[in-house]
Amino acid sequence: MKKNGYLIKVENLKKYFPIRKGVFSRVSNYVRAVDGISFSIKKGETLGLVGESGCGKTTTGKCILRLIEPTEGKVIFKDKNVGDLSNEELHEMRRNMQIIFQDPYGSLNPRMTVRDIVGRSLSVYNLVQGEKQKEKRVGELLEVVGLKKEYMRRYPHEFSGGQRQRIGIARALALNPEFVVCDEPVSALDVSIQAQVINLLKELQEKFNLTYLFISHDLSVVRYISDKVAVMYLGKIVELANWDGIYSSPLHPYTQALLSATPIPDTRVRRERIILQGDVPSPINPPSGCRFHPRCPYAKPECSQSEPELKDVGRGHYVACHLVK
Amino acid sequence: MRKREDALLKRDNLTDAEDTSTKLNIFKSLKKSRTWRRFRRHKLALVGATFLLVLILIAIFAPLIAPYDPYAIDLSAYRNPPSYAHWLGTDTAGRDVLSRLIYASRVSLLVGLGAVSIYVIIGTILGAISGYYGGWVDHIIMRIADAVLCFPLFVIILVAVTIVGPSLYNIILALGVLWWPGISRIVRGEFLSLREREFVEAAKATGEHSISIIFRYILPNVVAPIIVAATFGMASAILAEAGLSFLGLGVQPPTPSWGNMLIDAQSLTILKSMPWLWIPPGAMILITVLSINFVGDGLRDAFDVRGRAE
Amino acid sequence: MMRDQNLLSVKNLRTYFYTEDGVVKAVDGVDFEIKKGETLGMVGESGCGKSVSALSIMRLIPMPPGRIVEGEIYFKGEDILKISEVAMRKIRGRDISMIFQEPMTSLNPVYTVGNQISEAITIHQGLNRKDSWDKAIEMLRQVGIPDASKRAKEYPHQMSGGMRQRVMIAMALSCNPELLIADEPTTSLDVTTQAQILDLIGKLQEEFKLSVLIITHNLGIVAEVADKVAVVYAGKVVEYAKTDEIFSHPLHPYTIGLLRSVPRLDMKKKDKLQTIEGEVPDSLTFPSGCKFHPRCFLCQEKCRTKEPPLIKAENGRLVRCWRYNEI
Repeated sequence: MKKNGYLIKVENLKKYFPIRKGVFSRVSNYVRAVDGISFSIKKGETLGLVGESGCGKTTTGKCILRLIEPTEGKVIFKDKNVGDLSNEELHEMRRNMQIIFQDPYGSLNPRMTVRDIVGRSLSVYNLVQGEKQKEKRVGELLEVVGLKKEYMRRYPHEFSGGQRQRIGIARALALNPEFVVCDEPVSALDVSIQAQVINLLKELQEKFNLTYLFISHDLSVVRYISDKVAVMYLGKIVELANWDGIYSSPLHPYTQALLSATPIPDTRVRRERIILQGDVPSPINPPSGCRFHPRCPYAKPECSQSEPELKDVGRGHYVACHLVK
Repeated sequence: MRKREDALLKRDNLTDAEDTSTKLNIFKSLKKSRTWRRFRRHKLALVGATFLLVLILIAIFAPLIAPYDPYAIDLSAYRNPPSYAHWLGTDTAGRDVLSRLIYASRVSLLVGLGAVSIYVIIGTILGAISGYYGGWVDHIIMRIADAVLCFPLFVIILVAVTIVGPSLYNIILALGVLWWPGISRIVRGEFLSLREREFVEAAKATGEHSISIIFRYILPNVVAPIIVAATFGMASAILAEAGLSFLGLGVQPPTPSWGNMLIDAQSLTILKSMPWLWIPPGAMILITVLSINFVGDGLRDAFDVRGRAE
Repeated sequence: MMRDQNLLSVKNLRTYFYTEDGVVKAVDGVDFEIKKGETLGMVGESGCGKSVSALSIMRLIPMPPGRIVEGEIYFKGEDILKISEVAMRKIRGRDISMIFQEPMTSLNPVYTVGNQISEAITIHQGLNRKDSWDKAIEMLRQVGIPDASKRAKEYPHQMSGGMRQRVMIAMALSCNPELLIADEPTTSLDVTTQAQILDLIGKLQEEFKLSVLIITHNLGIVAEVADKVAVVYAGKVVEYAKTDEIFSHPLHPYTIGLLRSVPRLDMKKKDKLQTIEGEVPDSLTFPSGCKFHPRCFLCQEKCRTKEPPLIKAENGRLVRCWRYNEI
């Protein structure tokens, strides 16, 4: 990581899920959930990964942590390829990489107390001696995320969605990770609670110098928390740029459409609407050439023939589109 | 931040209690009472549970309760009808029917509990492995389960008992070893859906190993369906024991069991003219099995809502 | 006389659920009006009672445990809480229809979509099979489904989420209703699809002269489609005004808080989002007095004890706050 300042570097990551058919479970085809994406995140930075459902953003996050085994490609975390690690090495590595889940209901074990949910990993890695020390640490963690330490004896169903998400954050922080994948951490929460959790994530980032991969479908949330933003469409990154690059001068037609489709809660702002035609195609048989061409308002013949590369157009702004020179 | 949570606690207008420990107790009892309340609403289950409780007490304190030694032969009283001395009469060997009935409850409960514990353990472990790992492990275990289920179980048990010799422990063993597929399928099904839940993924991300995930994380969530299935299983085990004993392949006389007490009823004269020899054990089997099934129903309803909602 | 101009007017609606844990006052004072051709946006967070309000209008509240304990719902001048179930069944689907958040659960998986739409047409308009089938295809075409005659023969699972929602809309509009209730119609959809559906609803509204009640938690959607907005909190309408006024000059502290806490695409600086303190209250344990007081930055003694009524403010706006004019 010292070499070029990157904490994590993803190179040509691919994940194909086999589709099995018939009596002998023959692999008949693949869902190309993630199809060759590369990006890197500097220490202390946040990369926002946006896209619509099925674009592969969650799969990307889970492949990085090897919760899902990637089909191809490298994930280099602190100069080590996560894919090459043995089970023991991976176990050690996971202390440094954690994840916060989308669903605050499904991600906490209903039969465990908050103390066990948050503190279990401390025991797994022998970071605490005895119950007393564990409770002390869990208490600290709960206070860090804005909960009372007395709550540790309760069960998840006694909490609201926002509080549960805080518990999930405390669990992720228990091991003092450097890198956290936030997988849609606020999209299941109420509007008035979202801001609390977003602010908490920002505070924690400053306090512990965390590096985030922030996965979301909501461009306004990503805009608020990210330093860099990558836009995904059908398993590919179509545009990657600094925060202001994406939001003030989006270059890819898909990014433009996504931005214009995101409603702004203000009647005084009037924008030109780009309404895309059709639906997102299936990742089983993605369109030839540029995957966006069947819905692109500016599609040219070449777009259906050759696939555009993600190329640098200056100032760290990358875009994969034939029309952008 | 603290203030906010305080305000929240105050708004939980369950109680004005300030210190958290009382608060927690209230939460606990609330949770307990919710399941309890649902169970209680099931009147028949309540009746069944009461009966079983009494039966268990009777079995435990049999020597204190039974008026006679169940093995003592009273030659002066032989096939006597119910009387003040022998409330339920005496049997063909002159033994007190009531005392034998009381001691027989020990056998039935032992068979029920023993067989069920064995097959719940086998079934849960196999089902858990099968459901959690999936793939070829799952294939092999489930095909074995299918094979076991394919045979008429009662016949297999009959054959098995004939080979190893009839005895109380052999019956328990035979039932326990052969009845696991039902439970293992339930457990497998639950594991299949629970292993996809995010809290399992979260456990993996925090460095938990598979064994720990299976037993620490997933299994506690499967306890409710296992308990319900085990309850129903107990009823079947008691019935099976009675059937085997009736055929002379179960518990061997003179040890009393409800099943072998019914052997006498194989004779037509007894069936016709000496109902005190077969009605009491028959009724006990019927009432016990019914009670257990009612309790099972009650438990299922009581657990269901929370179990599914969470 | 006011009533006559309104297609729908809801007055002091209260719908309670009697559960074993206590009485859930899901809707506890909801008032609004919808004129012909108008769109009302109902915003609020989960459990605030917005969906239950919609179901109350349709009289689809499961009873028991639910019960509409108070209130009047005038549809074209008639209180539909007083009419018989048979009469209500005729209104449902023909005069008022509804679309839901998850179209998959409201479509029957074993019938083709064309079948389901034509079935609805047959029931309400008494057309024969052939005519209703043709009408169904015509409806599918109108909601922008390409190749409608072919896709009518498909089953719901063969379609994408956006297509299914279009089918739902086609079904809802097949009998020319005057009021469409859309309960979180785009929540399960992607943003680009959401834009398509909102655009479609807007177009159809003009074409069919529809009134729309759109229920959502998304303030952005309200800003884009609604003429008037009812903000709902803890079972009560807390603010009711024209959309422009709500966004340019919100009166209720909750509305103000909501608007400040949403990250927006057009925010100037990347500074901290303002938050509303505390949690969304649980409907079993609503606080005393003003339901919003534990989270309110203006809270005073009076707010803790006495519940404010819907107060008439300038321009006919309504607000449920003791201190709105101090903001």
